[in-house]
Amino acid sequence: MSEPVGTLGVLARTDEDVVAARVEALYRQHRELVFGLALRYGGGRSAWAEDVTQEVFLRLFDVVAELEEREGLQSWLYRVTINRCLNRLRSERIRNAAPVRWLLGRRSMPHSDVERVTSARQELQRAWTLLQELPPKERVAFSMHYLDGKKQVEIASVLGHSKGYVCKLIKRAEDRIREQGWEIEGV
Amino acid sequence: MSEEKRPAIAPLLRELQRELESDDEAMPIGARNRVEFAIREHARGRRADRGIGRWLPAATFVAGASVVFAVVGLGARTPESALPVEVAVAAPPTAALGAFALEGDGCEGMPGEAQTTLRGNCRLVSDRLSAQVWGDAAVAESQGALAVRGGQLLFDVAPVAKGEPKVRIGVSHGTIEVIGTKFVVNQGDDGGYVDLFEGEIHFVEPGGRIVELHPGQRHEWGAAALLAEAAEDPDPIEIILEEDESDEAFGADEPSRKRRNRRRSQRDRSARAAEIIGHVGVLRAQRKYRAAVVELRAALRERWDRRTAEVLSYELGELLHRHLGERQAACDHLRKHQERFENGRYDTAIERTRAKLQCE
Repeated sequence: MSEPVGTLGVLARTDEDVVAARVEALYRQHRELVFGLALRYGGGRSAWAEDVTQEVFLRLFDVVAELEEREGLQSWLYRVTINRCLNRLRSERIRNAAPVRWLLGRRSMPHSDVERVTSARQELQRAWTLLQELPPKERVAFSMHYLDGKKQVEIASVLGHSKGYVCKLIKRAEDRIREQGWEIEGV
Repeated sequence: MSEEKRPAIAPLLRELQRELESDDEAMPIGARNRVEFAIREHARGRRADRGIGRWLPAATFVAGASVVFAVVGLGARTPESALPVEVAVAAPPTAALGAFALEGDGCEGMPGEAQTTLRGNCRLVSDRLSAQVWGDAAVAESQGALAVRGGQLLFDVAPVAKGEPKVRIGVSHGTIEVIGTKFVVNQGDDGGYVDLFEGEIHFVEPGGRIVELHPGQRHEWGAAALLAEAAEDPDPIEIILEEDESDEAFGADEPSRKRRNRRRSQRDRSARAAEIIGHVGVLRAQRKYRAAVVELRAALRERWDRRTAEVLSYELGELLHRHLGERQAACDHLRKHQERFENGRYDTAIERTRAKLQCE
């Protein structure tokens, strides 16, 4: 098998070919962004983040042709990733509640990859655990505000809620955190 | 008594986020490949749903969910297929590796002299393996092994028990010996790669060296491998200046016509080389061979490390003799190539070509 290969004949490219090529190219370009976001909201679970990444890019097939006319690609990816994560977190919260876990025969929450990072520092572990214990919407709104630097109006747009409701979500998350003996930002 | 200072959560969470995202590529390679595969499967499904691709059913039967097509030549000639294909009217695909059934809605198979070109939703099936095609692919049978001449296929091979002969897949610069089970082969004009998802494969180079792959690993061959090696070259500044074929490019004041050192990022050069080879590949696919020659000649006037220059120069020779049929130009170029790249990677292939062209 040492002969150089011959060339292939080339079909005229169909619209589907163009869409597929574009999605593949965008996947290579933006997969780390999507995966990184999903990894954060998935509690550091790589398999969870992989599933979300796949869902997001498969969804892109339906919209890629019109996307740049309506909104930037990165905004779309961010919004869809956040919402996919939120949906999963909500359904997990139900499935992983103690009574449900008992019914399904599960003994504990899935292992989190973040443990390898936090094991050396208890403070990090506690902060992470506290974040994971927040209800999903509060966790997402709080993270978008304090970790991604999003304004409340931007968070409202991503989550499909009013700015007032987002403000409540963030405030509730802050109250829960303070109740556990933490402050939000250092002095 | 002062209050104990309360820890601040947001700075810690940001620190943790930075830690988790510290790798440039945090997404594991297995995950990257699986999602890419899912995207391609989805694209294939969409094409099938939209009825893209022409097909010529010669016989149909129901065996599970498969529909088997006979491969017929264009213009309804009796095909002289390099790949024996069975028309299975009522029987499943045969056991012999050398005979495959061709399946898939929208699949079009075009037998040629040296290879069969597959287009659309095609799957090659035998008792030991199946291979799903994306887009266009070209396959042939060679020395008992299935050979991938071009395109991309996902292989699913039944695990090979000890003592059983290995399944072998030929590519341009070696043979993949399969112990099992799932991998993607991508073969381009100048090289290619195999990504292993599950199981184990061995890549056997023409010289006999064997590379073992494990899940999540990729092995490259041909131009891609040479470029990758060139990028790791410990002495990347060694540069060979390509002489213009008509020797008109450089005047008497040029300090050195054969060697000149320039400072440039090796990564930039590799990216530039990959871009050129990619574009030349596109021109070849479009049959714009003259334009490809012009591009390569221009590229060869740039500064490259030895390996990259060798790849580009060899590619030029291929275009001249194989596609443009310019015997004398090909002979002249190949002679200069061998002088410039003594004991080069393509020596054997070039010797064969020069003998075939009866170059002096």
